[in-house]
Amino acid sequence: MLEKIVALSRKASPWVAHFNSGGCNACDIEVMATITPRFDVERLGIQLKGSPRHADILICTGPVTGQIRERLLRIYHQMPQPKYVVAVGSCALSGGVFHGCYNVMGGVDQVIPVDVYVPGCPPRPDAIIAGIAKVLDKMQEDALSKDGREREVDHGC
Amino acid sequence: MPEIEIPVGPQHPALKEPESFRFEVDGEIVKSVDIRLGYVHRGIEKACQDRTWVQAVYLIERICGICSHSHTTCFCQAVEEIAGIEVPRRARFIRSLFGEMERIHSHLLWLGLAGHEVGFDSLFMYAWHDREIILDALESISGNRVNYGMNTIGGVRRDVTEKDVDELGRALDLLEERVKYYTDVALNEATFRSRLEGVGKITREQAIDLGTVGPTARSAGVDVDLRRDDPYAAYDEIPFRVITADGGDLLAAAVVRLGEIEESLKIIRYIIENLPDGPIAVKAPRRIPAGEACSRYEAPRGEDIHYVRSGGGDKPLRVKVRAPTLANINAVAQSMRGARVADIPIIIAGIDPCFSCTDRMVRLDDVSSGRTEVLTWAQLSARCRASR
Amino acid sequence: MGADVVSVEDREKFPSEAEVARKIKSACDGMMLSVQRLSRRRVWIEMPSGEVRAFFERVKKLWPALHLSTITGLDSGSEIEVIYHFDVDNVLVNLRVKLDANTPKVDTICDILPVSDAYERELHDVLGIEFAGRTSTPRLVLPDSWPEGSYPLRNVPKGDEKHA
Ligand code: SF4
Repeated sequence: MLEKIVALSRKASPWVAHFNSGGCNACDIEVMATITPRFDVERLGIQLKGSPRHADILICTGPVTGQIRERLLRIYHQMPQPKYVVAVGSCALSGGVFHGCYNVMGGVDQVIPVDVYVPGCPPRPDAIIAGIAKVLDKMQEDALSKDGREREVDHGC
Repeated sequence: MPEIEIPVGPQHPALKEPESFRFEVDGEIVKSVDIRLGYVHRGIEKACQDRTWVQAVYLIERICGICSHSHTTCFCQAVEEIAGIEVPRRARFIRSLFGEMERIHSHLLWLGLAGHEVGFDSLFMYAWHDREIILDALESISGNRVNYGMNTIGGVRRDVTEKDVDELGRALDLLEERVKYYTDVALNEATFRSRLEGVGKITREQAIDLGTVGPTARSAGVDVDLRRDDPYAAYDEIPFRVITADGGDLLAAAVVRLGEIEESLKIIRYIIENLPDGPIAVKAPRRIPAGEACSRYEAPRGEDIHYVRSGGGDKPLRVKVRAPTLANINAVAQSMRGARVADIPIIIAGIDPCFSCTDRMVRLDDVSSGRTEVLTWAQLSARCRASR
Repeated sequence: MGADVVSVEDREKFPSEAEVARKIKSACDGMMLSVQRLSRRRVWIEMPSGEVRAFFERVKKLWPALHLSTITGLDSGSEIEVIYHFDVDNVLVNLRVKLDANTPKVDTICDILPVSDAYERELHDVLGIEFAGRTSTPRLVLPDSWPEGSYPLRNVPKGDEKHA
């Protein structure tokens, strides 16, 4: 019972960590823009956090470069359960314009599981917020389901 | 006291992009710094060789989301030089217009981040709020807030209408007032000043020796600006001042950037008042004749340089890009020595680093450091806890 | 002395560029230097790879505030070209040297112009160019997992493009 309450209250104030996995920076500044006055997600209880250890949701922007792959995995492992991942931007979805570049894995979901995809190059901050809201729905579902959510990637780090 | 190593990055609260620094500190003072980039290296230069000329423009736009217009203009200029394409005058003015709008948005972004790094978060919120004004203007003309897709080989893709000019005029009025306010804050607000004054200092000689470019060089008194020294787009017809300061510290950097915003506002006014009529693009051939060219552009962060070689086909033979941050990164390493640990984030932010530009090709590694593990801030604290 | 291939008209059309080229030539008296092309604020020079160090030593003496913008490397098939781009008197000088494609090797200019460090290491990574005189050329561009001896910007025969 207590766990259910904790899980549900998580939805009221999700903490978000942001990680650029090799993108062009445009998506990053749009993610940053969501916390500034025009969009201001903090009024909804969403906080951008520095450390993945405090975060419920990881926002990834970028196609995942060769050098960053391992760091991304490491950061994913550092997040506490239950963890959710939002891939922001076309290149985080599939590689986008960088598809086929020699140092690009081609999408965040090649490395870690992704819950919500936000397309756009870059998506507007509104779209990013909508993406986070989608995760909240998922959080609620998971909180109310019988065995909650346990998931971990197994490909080695 | 033994020297301690502090790793910062690749994922760290103070860094918005993945890069990693390793500081050797003695107490509170930084002894040496070791910079590693390369986390955003995607291999764009190679990928350009598999794209047609026009496709390459869009790929190059995504070298960096903040100075996207800089990179495409620089690339298009090089290709136009090879093909001998004469860009219409109106298109050149629109290119300059977007270049300046981009400079304003980039410098306001920097101002906000600088405020954030010194713990002055209201400034961050203010600056980013006002940045939306210019983003709205960019969006209403080009259709996108960040990667505008304005440039094409031979000109620009969208025209600036009467309505846009009106809106832009109103945006300028608003911004002019705000920039005055920010200049006042930067110069007179005691907390802001005391966190920036004397921090991250480089001398004029160092700035030249280290090959710094853009506002970083200008804040140390080096009078360089490619808009004047190697005019492109419409800059040979537009009157403007080059802003320099001689402090070499971060306060000087802030003063230079704020001065540049003011100058950019004037340039935009001049452009919308003197926008010539005519076509906005000429048709470029699908195959670009064989040849090579080297083009330079004063991006918000400094000199951006593209070398392009064509073999006469529909794809480039070689595209080489050197983004400004790579030239400025040496200055960070230099000014970091002797700095206090608390000043590390603001010194890094001081050059307005853009690692997605830099990393399209490069990662720096200190020769002497040998192999060391890079930890994130969070991992480090976890480790400290475990060893207690 | 290398022969220049610049026409008289070009010299007249670009006087300040021609002046920079002349200054460089007279400073580098005795080197196999040839001015290939002048265009607006650009000078293109070519020389044998052996004299790069001497060239930069002299040019640096002439213009102490010389700004090395970058170094480009490219694989043109039969040979590997290295182009040094530097700015003097607001004219961008492009110095080209050609290296053997099998064993591309040129002297480092790191000690003369410290900025070149990163640029040289980048070229070492993507094209496998050796810079003689450096104590080491550690990997710079590519991820640690990249296979040794494979250079992404070298031309590869068709069908062999995918790297590990
Ligand atoms: S999706 Fe587009 S805008 Fe976003 S990081 Fe990738 S290339 Fe840049």
